[in-house]
Amino acid sequence: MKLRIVLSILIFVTASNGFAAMSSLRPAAPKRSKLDKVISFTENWRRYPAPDVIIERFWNDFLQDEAFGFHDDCMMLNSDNRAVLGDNEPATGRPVVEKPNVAFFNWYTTCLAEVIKGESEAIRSKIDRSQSLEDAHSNAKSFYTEAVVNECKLPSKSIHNLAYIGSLCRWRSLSAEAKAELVREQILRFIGPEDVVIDLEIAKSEQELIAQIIEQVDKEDGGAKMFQVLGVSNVGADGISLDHSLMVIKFLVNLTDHLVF
Amino acid sequence: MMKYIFPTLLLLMCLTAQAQKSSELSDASYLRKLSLHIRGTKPAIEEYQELKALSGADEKAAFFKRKIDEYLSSTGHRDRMVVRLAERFEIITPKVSRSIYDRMSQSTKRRYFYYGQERDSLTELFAKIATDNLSWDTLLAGTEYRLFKSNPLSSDYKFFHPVYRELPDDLEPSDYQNGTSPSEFPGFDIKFSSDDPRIAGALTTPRFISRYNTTNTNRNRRRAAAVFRIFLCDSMAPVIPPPQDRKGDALDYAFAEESESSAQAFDHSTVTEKQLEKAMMSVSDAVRHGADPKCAACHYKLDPMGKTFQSIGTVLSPYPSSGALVFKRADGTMVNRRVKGLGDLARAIVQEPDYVSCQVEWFWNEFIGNDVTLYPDRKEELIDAFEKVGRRTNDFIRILVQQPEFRERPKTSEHIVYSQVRPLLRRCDSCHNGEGYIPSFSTKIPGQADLLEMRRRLNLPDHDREQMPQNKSLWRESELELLRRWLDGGARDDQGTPQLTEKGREVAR
Repeated sequence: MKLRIVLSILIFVTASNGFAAMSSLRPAAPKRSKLDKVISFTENWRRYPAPDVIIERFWNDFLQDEAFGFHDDCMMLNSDNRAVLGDNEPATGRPVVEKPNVAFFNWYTTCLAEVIKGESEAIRSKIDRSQSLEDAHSNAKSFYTEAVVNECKLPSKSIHNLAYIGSLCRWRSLSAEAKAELVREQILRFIGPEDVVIDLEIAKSEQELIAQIIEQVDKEDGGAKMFQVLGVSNVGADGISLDHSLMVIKFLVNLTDHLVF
Repeated sequence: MMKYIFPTLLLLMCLTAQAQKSSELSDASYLRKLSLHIRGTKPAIEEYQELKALSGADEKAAFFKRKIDEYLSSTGHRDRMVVRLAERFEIITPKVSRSIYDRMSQSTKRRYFYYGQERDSLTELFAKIATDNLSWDTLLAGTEYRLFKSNPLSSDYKFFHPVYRELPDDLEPSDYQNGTSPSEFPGFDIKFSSDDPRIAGALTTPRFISRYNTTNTNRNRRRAAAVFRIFLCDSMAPVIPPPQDRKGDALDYAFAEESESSAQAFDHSTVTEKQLEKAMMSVSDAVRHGADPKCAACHYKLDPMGKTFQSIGTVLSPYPSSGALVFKRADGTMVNRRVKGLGDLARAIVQEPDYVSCQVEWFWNEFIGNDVTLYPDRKEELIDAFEKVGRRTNDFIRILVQQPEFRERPKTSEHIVYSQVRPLLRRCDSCHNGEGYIPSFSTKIPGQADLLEMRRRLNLPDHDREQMPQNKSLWRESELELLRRWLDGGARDDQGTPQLTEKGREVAR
């Protein structure tokens, strides 16, 4: 359900067609969608996440390592992003814009892609710094799930190879169970358990959401439209890597979650 | 007979239970909401797993109680309260929260925070109320501060020095230049006597004072208006046009003579701030700002309170200014109390029932949501609860997040209902306060005739003097559109029942 909306917004944003993206959020009157009520920076509807909460999510939800660089525009409020994020203008005590608009989605998708890429680097660095092979194994499993780590064929089980499991392993080589496990883990991490998925009306069941996301990543495996947003080039002939698929999954899950706060 | 009645009753009970259950968030969603609302972050996976392992209702209740306490003592709650209050006071929110700032590396801090984090006595007061579970009254009537000099926006040192001569010079973060982390400046604590007439919590901080320093003519009235808005929920909207507004009532009065003498409407868009000030000083008494009966509707309250700010400039004066707390309570009785200074004013306000009612409503809007109607009887219950916990901030939040309304699913409806437009209608109530023939809109849905009149006036063209709202520039077109859609849809109450019947609409046509 919501995933379709997310994807349509994403496609519109990547195509830089702002008005189309806005219209997908604000259906023509008089028919009102639930989103019409929920998403707003202003007082008359339920408050969209406050700017500081949006910023803090990047810090709190993702493994970050400042060594890989920070985009200050994504990591703190400044004069450029305050209005876009719906911060109250002190002169009036109200946000400059009423609803998240195309500028918001441009900012959000760019920053989300940024922190997801940063996390990939941070994960690799963390596994690489493991004290023993067991530690490396346990770290890799905590990020990529046990099923995926067990299924990925590595040249040898060394710390270094485990650190690069994300680029050595291919999405299409994973079994359906391992794919589902990987997606479930990200849903649990960023949205919550199945009850939350249902309560927030993201999907009718966790299984349905998992299937939708896998379907989308499989599509990306062939077409790679979303990598424009993620800034990834050179997708190999043998399909996208585990890291790239994980980027798409995290991206979709987060965008879905953000819309239904 | 009984063999039919009993199963039917059982079935009905089951259906009722099912209906009740479905309107409530699941345990996992409730945990998520608690975590997000109180500390701004989601629960950890382990917390969900711990909850899932619990089976009994008592076990779950104990778990949620523990979690609420944990979240209320988190740095996330402190940081969220700073932002909530910064928004309430209409001041710029920090670039990053304190907990994020503390996690930054030294090089990042140095790169983006030349003066250290933007800490000052006002935001520190906001934080302390949350971390120490202080009485909510401290916000207005507190007499203790932690001072910083690192904020370029306002200097606590300069502000407080005239009344607190013992301040050390080393509030200046000179050692920052020598390589010390800005976060290592702990600030300097000062304390005044609890009955000091010069001191009034947030009001006597440089951030609050400098927030309303834009016009010489009106700054103390603006400060008074902020006090009415924040602490007594009186919006003052009709007379406080935003600075960029060049079509507000103030201009109409200031330039009344020009408007009347000109055949065409006076072009407000070309008026500069200087011209406005000059005109305000030169126009005759009858049209002067504050003297007109329409202006007096607010100025009878603003001017006496504004006087209590008179001695404050860029620094805190050692001498308090006398003024008065004058306003009409919600129950219709008048308050007219002389005060010796801002401290005295603050202590008078916190004793007012309207203050308590306003603050409870603010908490409701922040934690339950202002699209959920706070009915009068519920408000009374919550006011009792607020008083029972000694008005302590976190204790009251703890009560609020355990209310059934907090755990309810957001209602979705095909129609626009009263609670969706109520926050908008509340703005009308600064004039439409139920007096005489003018109905109040936000306490209950007006009658059929008033609804029809509202609809007619909302749809009048811009130049029509009967058009409502009068200060249209303070409204967004989408907000007016929402009101029109509510009225066109029959002005439905929260249950979805139209209050404006087809017959009434026919009569209007």
